[in-house]
Amino acid sequence: MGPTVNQRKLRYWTVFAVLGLSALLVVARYGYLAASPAQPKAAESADAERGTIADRNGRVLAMDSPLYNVAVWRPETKRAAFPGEAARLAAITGVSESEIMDRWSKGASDFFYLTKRALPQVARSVQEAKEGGAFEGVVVEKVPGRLYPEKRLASHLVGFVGDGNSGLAGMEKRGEDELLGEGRSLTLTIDADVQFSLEAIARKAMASTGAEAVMLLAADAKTGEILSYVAMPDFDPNDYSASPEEAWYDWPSVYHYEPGSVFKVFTMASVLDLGGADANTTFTCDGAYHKVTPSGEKITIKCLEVHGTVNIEKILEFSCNAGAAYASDRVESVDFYDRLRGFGFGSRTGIVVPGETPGLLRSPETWSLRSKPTIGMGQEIFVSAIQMTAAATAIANGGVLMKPQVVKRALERDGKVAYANEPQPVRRVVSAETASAILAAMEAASSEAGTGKRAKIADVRMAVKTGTAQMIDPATQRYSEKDYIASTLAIFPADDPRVIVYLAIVKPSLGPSYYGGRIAAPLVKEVAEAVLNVTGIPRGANPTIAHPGAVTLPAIVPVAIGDTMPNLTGVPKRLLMPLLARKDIKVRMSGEGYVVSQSPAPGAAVSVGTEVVLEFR
Amino acid sequence: MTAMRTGFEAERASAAKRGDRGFLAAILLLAGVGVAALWSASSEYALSLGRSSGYFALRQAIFLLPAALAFWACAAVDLDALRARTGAATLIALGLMLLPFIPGLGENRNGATRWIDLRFTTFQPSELWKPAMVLYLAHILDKKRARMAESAGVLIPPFLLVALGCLLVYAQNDFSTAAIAGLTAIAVFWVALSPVSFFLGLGAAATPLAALSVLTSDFRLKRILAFFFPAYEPHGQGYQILGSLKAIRSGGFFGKGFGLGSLKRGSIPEVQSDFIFAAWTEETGFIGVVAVLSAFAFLAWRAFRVALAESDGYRSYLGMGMAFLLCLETLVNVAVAAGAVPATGMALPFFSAGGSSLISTAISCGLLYNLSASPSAAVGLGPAGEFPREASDV
Repeated sequence: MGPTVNQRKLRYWTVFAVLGLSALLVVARYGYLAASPAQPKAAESADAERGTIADRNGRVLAMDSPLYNVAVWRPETKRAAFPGEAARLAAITGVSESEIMDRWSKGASDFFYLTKRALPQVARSVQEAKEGGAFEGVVVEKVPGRLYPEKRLASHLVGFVGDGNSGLAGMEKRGEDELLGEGRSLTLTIDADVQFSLEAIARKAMASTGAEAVMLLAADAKTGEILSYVAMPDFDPNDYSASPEEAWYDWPSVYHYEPGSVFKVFTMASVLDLGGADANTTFTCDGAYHKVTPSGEKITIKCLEVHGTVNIEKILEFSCNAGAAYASDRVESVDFYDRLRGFGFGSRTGIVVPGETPGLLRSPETWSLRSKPTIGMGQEIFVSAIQMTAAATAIANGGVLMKPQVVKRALERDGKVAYANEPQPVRRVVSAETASAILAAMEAASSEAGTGKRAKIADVRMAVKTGTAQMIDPATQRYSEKDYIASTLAIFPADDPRVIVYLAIVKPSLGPSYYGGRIAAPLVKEVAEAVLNVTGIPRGANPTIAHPGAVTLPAIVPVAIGDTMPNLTGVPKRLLMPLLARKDIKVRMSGEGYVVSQSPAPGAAVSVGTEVVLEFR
Repeated sequence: MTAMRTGFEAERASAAKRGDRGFLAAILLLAGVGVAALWSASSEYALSLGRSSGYFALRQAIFLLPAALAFWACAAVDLDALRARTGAATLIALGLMLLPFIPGLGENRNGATRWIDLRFTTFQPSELWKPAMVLYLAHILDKKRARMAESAGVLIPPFLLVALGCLLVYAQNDFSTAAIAGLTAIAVFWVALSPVSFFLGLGAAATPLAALSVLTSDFRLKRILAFFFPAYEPHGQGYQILGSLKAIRSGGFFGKGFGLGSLKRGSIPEVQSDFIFAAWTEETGFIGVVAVLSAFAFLAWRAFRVALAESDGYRSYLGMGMAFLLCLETLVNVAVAAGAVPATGMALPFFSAGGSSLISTAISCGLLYNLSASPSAAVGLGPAGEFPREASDV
């Protein structure tokens, strides 16, 4: 055999080898796919039913509802009949007659859709026409559809479903395995009524402040359940593609930012609990915080005013930067960091929404000498609105942090409860005394002198902290002079916390002010009013009677007549009915209602055969 | 064994030569299974169009008649006579590919202008280009066998002609067929002992061109993107792949049972053409995949065996090219259904609905069967290890 033969064989065999190897890879790919988990959700998703999503009171927020595609299969249409039917088809489908005729006569495809995801009445009209012998070649396809009866309500939390029945955002995405795979229905913790009121307030805030976004959360202070989850701009999940993608952005969980002065609540709680300061420890604010480092560098952090001598309560009441900075100097960086981690900063809360941010809390070894006082004022730290709300549960709840929850329970397809989420304490962050001292200081902030006075309600004690955070300008990487986040945190009633409200307005651009105390606090007052009205939390001046929901009636105790006649005046007739069964005495009754006269008179002797006459009215 | 034929047998073979029976059996098996798979996969879709459930399968069965004719003709033809008409065949195939560009004759379907309207049916000329190109290359590369060793330059004219054909296919917005034809051409150049320098030059020229062709077509870029991120665009190309993957997964090892698949009901658009293998896998499972691919592998092995043993250069290249073409079409389609390569509009031989593909497959198979009956196949490479200088009957 010459070299050419070997060469030729080599060439042929390389081709066989390439093809054979490719074939093996393809077979391996099929084997892998066959062996990978059966994925019931994937396998059935195209026509499977998704469970419903409802609010805590069972109001439906998302439900399945079949929709219909109407298409034309051209070879089946009749050349003579179709042009005459086009007008009727146009009227039913809402597609113009000229477009239908265009696509029918010169379209590229034999099969084309006239309308997709149409409502059942459209399909019904087409079907009726077909039964009447019209519309040959017109095809109706049933496709799974998702209906959001409350439209924009809680759109970010509920999310939406794309073509092919796959959840693309919110609970529809994060709960896909349960909703679609297991067909479970989810009951959320939000209250649609509270949500509705708060969305109206947030929408108003968008309009009046010209903000880029508004985040507004309300949570049950005791359980960590989210009662309302508002992000603006919002969208209608029934027609999500009509809104720009920015409207889908889930600000409260996905966006992280420097929170500003509201954060002093957690700084002061940490300092107090670590023993760095107590109620009597005072700091002097001369309009700025001053510090000289061992190397001789001078650090100055400006305060808004000269607050004079302040203690922890006054720091929160006036939102004193210098005081907060000095207070943070009284604790070790590592301890301070640990407490902030304890409040949940720098880690995800685990709330069931896709893409939650952990925020950013750098570890103390990377801190500069400026970092601790700066973090103490809520800059140099990035948080999410859901983190702020969750952290506040530790203040409201005697020092114990609660996990924020959005799912209350899940129901199986047959209506049985699959599981119910219990309140989940995460950890004790500060002592009960510290928590109540901070609440008291926050309550002082809603006093006439405090920064949060505009959040005050006459008849409910409010614990408030406001904040106005400078934002970093992405262009210059320095703090912007015009971009702010104005925010307010409120816990009420301060004496027995029931609700946490957190409002943040991103980049307000209209109106007289960008200060949290000016623009966010009055809205928080409105929010508190709305929440109080819906939830029936007792109010001071105008108490709402807490009603357990069921009327308890006293048990029926039949009246006995023994040896003497009792005074039966005012006794209802139904209590006396058993007397009619007595064989030893004769009872005659007349009228309905209550006893107005009786014979024998009270105290008279009763013996066998006595006739008792009772008159009711 | 073919060399041991009696005169009588040889005479009969000249009308319809008696080739490899195993090869023939594999073809008949695949054609039968293909129509059955098509019937199952397309029945719901046909019903949704208001047709009977067997609409597509019946159409396909009707196309089997011209396909059988094409097979018989290619199996019976005198390959030397065919070779003598290579030029004419190539020109006709190239000319046919211009027809879709003629307004009124070409039909635009799903964004591609690759069909011509024959009134009673449509025809896709690019399907015919693939076997024609192999015929041409087998002839010209055998002819230039001696000279190419001296200078790779003699390969440039045939290369340009092939490139022109592939460009015409590409201009019909049919990237996949162009790519399949191109790869097949390269395979034939390769087995015909083209100098390595030729391939190096080809690679240097082709890489930027390929990148450009992907990036300049919005539609193609989307397909490639959908391949890497199928969930990103769940209503478009990715939707087909996702549906296909679901179908394959849900089939498991043993499948749901023939006719019992559920995903073909609307969740995979065009299931009866490009994604028929997904429906087949859902119903027959991994077992069905191995069975069908084994049949294809058997077919390929018989064809390659003939090509490898062939002592005549033209016949050997022809067999190699046709077998490679069938293998590549099958592999690409099956790999696409499994999400292993980006989605393309590529038919699965014997399975996919469509007459053009069936006839193209029949032509390739007919020629391979013809080769298997060739007396020179038994002789093998000559004693000097080279093909005879002139194509001749032994």
